[in-house]
Amino acid sequence: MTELLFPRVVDNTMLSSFKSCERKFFYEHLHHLRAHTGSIHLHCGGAFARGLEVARQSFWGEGLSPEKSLLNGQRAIIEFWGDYPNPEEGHKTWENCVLALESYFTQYPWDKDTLQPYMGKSGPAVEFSFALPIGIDHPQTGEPLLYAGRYDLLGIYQNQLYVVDEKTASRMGPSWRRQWTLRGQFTGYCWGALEFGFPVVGAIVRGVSFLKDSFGHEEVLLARPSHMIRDWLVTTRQTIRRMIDCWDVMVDHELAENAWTRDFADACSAYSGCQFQLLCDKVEPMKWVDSNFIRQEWNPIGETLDG
Amino acid sequence: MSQEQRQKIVDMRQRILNQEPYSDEELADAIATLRILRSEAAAGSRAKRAAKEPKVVKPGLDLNTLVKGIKK
Repeated sequence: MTELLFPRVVDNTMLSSFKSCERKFFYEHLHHLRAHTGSIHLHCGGAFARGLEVARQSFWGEGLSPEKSLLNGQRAIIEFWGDYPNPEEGHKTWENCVLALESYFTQYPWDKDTLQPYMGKSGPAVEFSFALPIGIDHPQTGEPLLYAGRYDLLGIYQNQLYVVDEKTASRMGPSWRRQWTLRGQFTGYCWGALEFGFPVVGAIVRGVSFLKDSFGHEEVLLARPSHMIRDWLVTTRQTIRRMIDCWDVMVDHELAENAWTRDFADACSAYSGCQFQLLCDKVEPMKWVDSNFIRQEWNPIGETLDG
Repeated sequence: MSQEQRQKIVDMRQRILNQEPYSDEELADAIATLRILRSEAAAGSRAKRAAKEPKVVKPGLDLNTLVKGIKK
């Protein structure tokens, strides 16, 4: 068996992966496997976030004009997108991503936006990341395990501080809005901000939908009172302890994938089907890895790292 | 959309990815072309939809009933 390492840094993506299917976590975050094709949703979201970051930094950090700031953001989107192919279905293309950025700043016009960036000593708090001890030790090294997050903006809305995250979507509606109500991703961001001494009261999620003929915009304001943050912390620690239990079973019994149970339910079909389905029906799944996957380590506080 | 306009967008992307000098004026011009392309495509698809889906009003349904239905 390949020498595996338990992650030193855990984030919401890893928690979600483990909770949906332990085996998925095993492949995704212990073996660092990714399908060759990648995900257009992740790529488009990353490109859009990069464009927003550069545009905001240009306008609020460097004092450039809205026009110049927008162009800087659009150029950054094109650079981020690279030669990644446009999807055969849907509207998340590089061209639409570039135009979505100007639609965003038409919807939320720069210094007229009711949500303004928090201005720290080093400029606007855009693409804010953190990594903090979560109160559990690493099963191999004994060092404190870190919980990390990275959100798009620390912003001020009606004189209160919020963490802000932007989402690209194919379409939005009531169910899009409802899905964030209890979402731990944002509670974790609030926990991180509070630990750093920023008195955030909640999260704002802004969605941009890529429709055939236009772009849609939605904004959801989420309260995160202290009891929700406490509950999130307790639950997150429980989940990480369950991860470590699986890890211990794997190590103690010299097992590999069999220490990590399979969902055999919704996780297999979610998001157009789990990328690891083709391993889960094989007698010796690891023999199928090299021809179907690349190894690319997920970095919770930045871009992916080539493994 | 002419071939020349399409080529302008392809060139814009290629030159930025190759890290060749590409001024803000050129970029703004290419993105304006991209905007035109999208609104032309949108107008085209709206026209197609309109041709396919003629509005049918059920006989006996007055405007007030329709408005109430929409409000619900």
